[in-house]
Amino acid sequence: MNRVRLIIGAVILLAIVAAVWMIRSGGERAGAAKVTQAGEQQRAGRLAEARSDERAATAVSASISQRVSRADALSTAAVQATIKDLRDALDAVPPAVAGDPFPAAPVERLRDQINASIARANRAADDADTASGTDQD
Amino acid sequence: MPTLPAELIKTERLAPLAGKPSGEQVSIDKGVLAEIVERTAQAIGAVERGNERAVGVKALWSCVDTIMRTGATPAACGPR
Repeated sequence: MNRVRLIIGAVILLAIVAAVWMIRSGGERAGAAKVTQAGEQQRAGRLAEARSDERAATAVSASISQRVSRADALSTAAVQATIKDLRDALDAVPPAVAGDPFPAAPVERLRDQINASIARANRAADDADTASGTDQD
Repeated sequence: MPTLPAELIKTERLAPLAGKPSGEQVSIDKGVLAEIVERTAQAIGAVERGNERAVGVKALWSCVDTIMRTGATPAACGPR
């Protein structure tokens, strides 16, 4: 009688231990899966954000380099125009006044044309120095 | 983005010609004078383009910085 009660008791105890263990390990697996999924979602989100930032930066880089090459072309055209003006000024030198061996060079016109170019170059420097970085032309 | 180093956006300024005569005269061939003033004009143009590049570097840096921080492209950074 006593032995039978002891065996039944042991079986019940084993069953309880087994049930607790099964519930525990099942919960662990489900919890781990949840954490992994959340981590993957977060990672995917961050990756998508980085990719979109990268695309935006590439577009901005292209539009700014276009702006700089337009400014470059304008400057080159201005230099060509200045050179033409300088040549014209030299070509327009009148013949020497009687008694002088040479005619006078058009120093004032040359100076003014050169100074106009210097003013352009200095304005570009002002643009760079006053720009906050985003709001200049 | 780190701070944009100031050396990369340093601008160059030129002093204008005063053209003040010294009173001493020399003669110079017109072709030689023409070449000197043309090269001077080209050098000034190079300074202008260099300054424009500083404008571009500054804009690119701050636009990319804003994109990295906020994810949005400022209107001034778009194509124009």
